[in-house]
Parts: sequence; structure tokens; C-alpha cells
Amino acid sequence: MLRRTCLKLFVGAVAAMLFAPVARAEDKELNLFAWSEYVPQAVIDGFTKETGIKVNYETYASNEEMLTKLLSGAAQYDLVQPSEYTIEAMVKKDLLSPLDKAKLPNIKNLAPEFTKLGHDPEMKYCVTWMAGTVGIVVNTDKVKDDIKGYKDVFQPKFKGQIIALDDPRELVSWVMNVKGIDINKVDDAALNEVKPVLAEWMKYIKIYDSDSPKDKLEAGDVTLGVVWSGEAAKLYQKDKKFKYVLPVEGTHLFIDSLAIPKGAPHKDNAHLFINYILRPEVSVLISKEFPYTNPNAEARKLLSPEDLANPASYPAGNPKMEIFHDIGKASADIDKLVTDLKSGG
Amino acid sequence: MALRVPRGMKLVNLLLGSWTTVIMLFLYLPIVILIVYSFNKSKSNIHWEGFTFDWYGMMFRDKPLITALNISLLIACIVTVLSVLLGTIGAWLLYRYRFPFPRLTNTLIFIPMVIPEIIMGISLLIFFATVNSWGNQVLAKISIGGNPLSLGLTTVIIAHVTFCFPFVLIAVQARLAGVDPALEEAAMDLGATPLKAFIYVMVPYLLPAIISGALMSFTLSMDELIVTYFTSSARSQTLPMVIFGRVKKGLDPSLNAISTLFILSTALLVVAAEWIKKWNK
Repeated sequence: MLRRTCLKLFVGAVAAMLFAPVARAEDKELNLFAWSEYVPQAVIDGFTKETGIKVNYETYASNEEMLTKLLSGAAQYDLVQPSEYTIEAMVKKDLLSPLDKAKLPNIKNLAPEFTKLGHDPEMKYCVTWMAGTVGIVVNTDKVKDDIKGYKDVFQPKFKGQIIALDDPRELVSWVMNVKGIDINKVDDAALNEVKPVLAEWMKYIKIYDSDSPKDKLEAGDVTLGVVWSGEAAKLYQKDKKFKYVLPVEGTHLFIDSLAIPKGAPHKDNAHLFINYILRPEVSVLISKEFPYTNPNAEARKLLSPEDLANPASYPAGNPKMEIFHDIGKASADIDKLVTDLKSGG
Repeated sequence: MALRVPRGMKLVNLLLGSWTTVIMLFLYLPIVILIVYSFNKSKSNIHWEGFTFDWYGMMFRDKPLITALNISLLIACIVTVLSVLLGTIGAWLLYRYRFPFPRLTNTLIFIPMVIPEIIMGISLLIFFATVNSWGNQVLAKISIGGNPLSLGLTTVIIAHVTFCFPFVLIAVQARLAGVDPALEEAAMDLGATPLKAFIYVMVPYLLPAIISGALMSFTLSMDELIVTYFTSSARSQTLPMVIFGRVKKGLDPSLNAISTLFILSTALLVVAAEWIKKWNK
């Protein structure tokens, strides 16, 4: 008899474990899959306090990492935070669920230039989280030259003083900008042209870091480099000696957005969250912690003049900038090129 | 009285001694530095600015970190219980009954202990995804909600049990090797059913091995990162995953603080496991 009871208990326990997620499907929960340290805790706490919805925040360090996990089909996310070219790829592969604008009244707060972007012209699938540029940071205490573009950075005399993003597509796009090639026209001919120049440049680079290049610049390990604008903005906040320069040759404007994957179990909660972060007073919290370019016009009004004057967050003038588009298979060619160069040099 | 050492051996001993010291430093210096910097006033891990307990306080107020710690503890506890059940019963069955291909069975059970974690992670992810999509097809027919095995606590627990239970099994098996078969026979002669004999005679005898296996499972489950990465979702972010996610965006001494506590408790568990193993003999 005992044996049978044990068996029943065991089967019961297994069944309960297997079906537990089904029973919880309509819970007050939101599964957020976003870049590491890009969503301030204050925003998450505020949202939970107001709506009672618990936010589960999982992080990733690259768009590819996020796609892989999403494509496996076993994970269930309600919100993801891809960059512009990844949004394009995801729309092509039919991985995103269209937004219900009726549930997003705060969309009106976005600055008009962020409502019809190349990767999603009608804002059908995504709402901009933050935008930023890739540009040059110069420690003007150490480097007295007038740095205007990539060509001024990657010079033999700066060998061992340069930090660069550890991102193959970025590296290749810098050379393409210098050569005057369209950064979204990646083919064999373009890559052949890029290769010798990049090989030369890579000899001068001391550190590759996409995650937190500001630390090395601050510590003085390197004196100049090409980094994300948000990193540069934080350096400038700490010390005005860190100058941010948008390369004259042209640069990459990146746009990270929030989007809802197909099959998300809590779509309503996801809409609530998007609408929440579009409030000016919430959006400004994100800007305070991550000083990228805030797409929210109403939120910008709440920023201090000093924040708005930070050249890395809000570059003046009309610099030459372009977004990345999905280049499909060519991204594998880029990866191969850069890996070969790294291991060869 | 000191042992008399031949003249030539003195030099050799000295060399071996210093070699061992160097190895120990190599092993433990990084951990010591990590612990020291958890008391550093400065936010950066480069300069020493003074002693403080602030980071420990900050760590306890850090909600995501504490949530992750709770999830890790929950997973580790369930994994330990399941591993003990599977491992003990498995070892006993392998010992008590004859199976075809006993050696092959043994080898197959131990493979999860040595298989590269990344391979195990990927294969489990593919497995869960497949089961999930089959499950969806079946459930759709009887019109119940879908995703019977989407990534979450359940999948992480299954994954951890896969590589934890062999440790219990191996410990119990070692203990069983020295057991006197007369014990169980005597119990049954006195009227115990095989199940009763197992519960009242074998389990108490095996207890030291079971406890040391359980401690191993708990420690492994708490520390595991790679397999967890592949099998978890936003809902089941364990402590190592949250720490790893943060490290990518620069170090913060409160991470040193939690690592220090983590190392200390892991070390305690390992010492306890070793101590029980000794008692076992």
C-alpha cells in the first residue's frame, strides 16, 4: 500500500511541477529580457508599486545572445530590448507581435524624429528606449592633438593607448566610413577593401571592451578610444577633460527599443510597461542613470541644462549618422574577418 | 623528535615546500584580494581608500540580488531533495539487483558529472524546446493552455538534478561496497518487507554518505552558471546569473561582498561534506 501511495505522490509532484507554469500564466508578472544594467531598478520598482505586476529581469550582453535564446522556443519573454538592425531581422522572421497603440497613449511624448525610424517606420513593432552614437573619447590632458575622426585616432603614435568596442560590425563600419563606403553595403568587395586598413588599426588598439570602456579610460590605462556615447557622457560628467567627438567620416546611430515577442504570455502587462516608461518623469530616471540620447521630448524638458549640454548625450550640429540595417548572412563574414585579424595579429 | 632527513633530501624538501606555497598562493590569492576589496571604501577595485562595511549593507538592500539569492536557495533545496532520492534509490537498486550491462549503466550515470557543461546546457535547452513544442501540440488537441515545459524553475531544477544526483549515487555506492549483506537479510528474516528493511536498516547505515552527497548537490546547484544559463528564463534568475550579468557592466564592491559570503558558505559546506565523509569511514 505504501508503495502505491509513494508512487501516487511522486506522479502528483511531477505533474504539479510540469503544469505549474500553465496555472500561473495569467499572473501579475512580466518577463523582461533586456541588456545588462540598462533598466534602472527605480523604474522597475515604481512600475511594480503602481500596478502590482512583478518584473522578472533577465539580462543579455549582445543582440545575438538574446535572439538565440528567443529562437530556442522554450523561453517565454514578454518584452525584449533589441537594437535597430535586430528589430529588422526579427520582423523579417516574424518574431515580433504588433503593438496595440490604443494601449500606449504616452507614445505622444516621443520626439517626432524617433517615431518614423528606418527599421520600423510606422512604429508597428517597437518603441524607442534610448538612442546613442558611437564616437571618439579623448583624454585632453594626455592627448593634445585635435582629433576629428577615426583617421586621427588610429595613428602609430597612439599605439598602446587606444580602446575600442569589442564588436566586429562596429570595427568594420569605422573603416567603411573612412573609405566612404555605405556601412550597410557589406559585400566581399567592401570587406576586401576594409581588411588591410583594419589590420593596421588593430595593431594600435590596446583593449577591446564593449561593456564598460569608461573604467579603463578613467583609470588612465588608455587615453583615447571609440566607445558608446553613454559611456562618454558618464566620463564627461565626472571630468570635463574627457572630450567626445563624433567622427567627421560619419558614425553609427544606434537605437535600442522595447518590443513584444510573438507568443508572449503577458502582452497586456508588456503594454503597460511600455506606456509606463514613456511617462516623462519615468523616462528621465533612465536618462539620469544611463545618459544616452533620450527620445522622449517631454522627458528632455525635465533634464537639467547641464545634462542637456553634455555633448555625448546630445551632440550639437548636424553630424553624419546612420543606423545599421539587417545584413543577413554578411554579418557572419564580418565576424570571420575580425576573428581572423585578431588571431593573426 | 624530528625525523632524520638524509642530507640531500633537505634541499628537495625545501624546494617542494616552496613549490607548494606558490601553488597555494596562486589558488587563494585572488580570493583573498576579492575579500579584502569587499571592505574597500572606494567604488573601484583599483585603489584602497579605507575600511568599511557599507557594501554589505548595500547588498542586503539590493532587491534583485536578494530575490536571486532566494531563487537560488529554493532551487538548491529542491534539487538536493530530488538528488538524494534518485541517487540513494539508484545506488541501492544497482547494488541489490542484477541488471543487464551493469558497467555500461554505471558509466552512463557518471557521464553527467564529467560532460562539458556547455554541451549539457545546449542539449538540455534543445530537449526542453522539443518537449515543449510536442506538449503544445498535444495540449492544443485537448484545448488546455500551452507551454508545459517552458524555461523556468522547473527546467533549471531538472537540469541541476541531472548533474547532481550522480554525486549522491557515487557516495552511497562507496558506502554500500562495505555493507554486510547479512544486515538486510537479518531484517527480512525477522519479518521486515524489503521496503521496510531498506528504510529501517539500510538508510540509517547509509546516512553519512547521503548527507555528504546532499551537501555536494546543494553546493553544486548554488554555484552552477552555464547549464543554468541555457535552461533558465527571466523568472528563474539564480544568484550566479545575476552576478554574471552585472560583472559585464563593471565591478561593484557589493558584488565582492556577496561573493565573499558565497565563498564562505560554500567553503563551509565543502568542509562539512569532507568531514562527514571521514566520519563515513
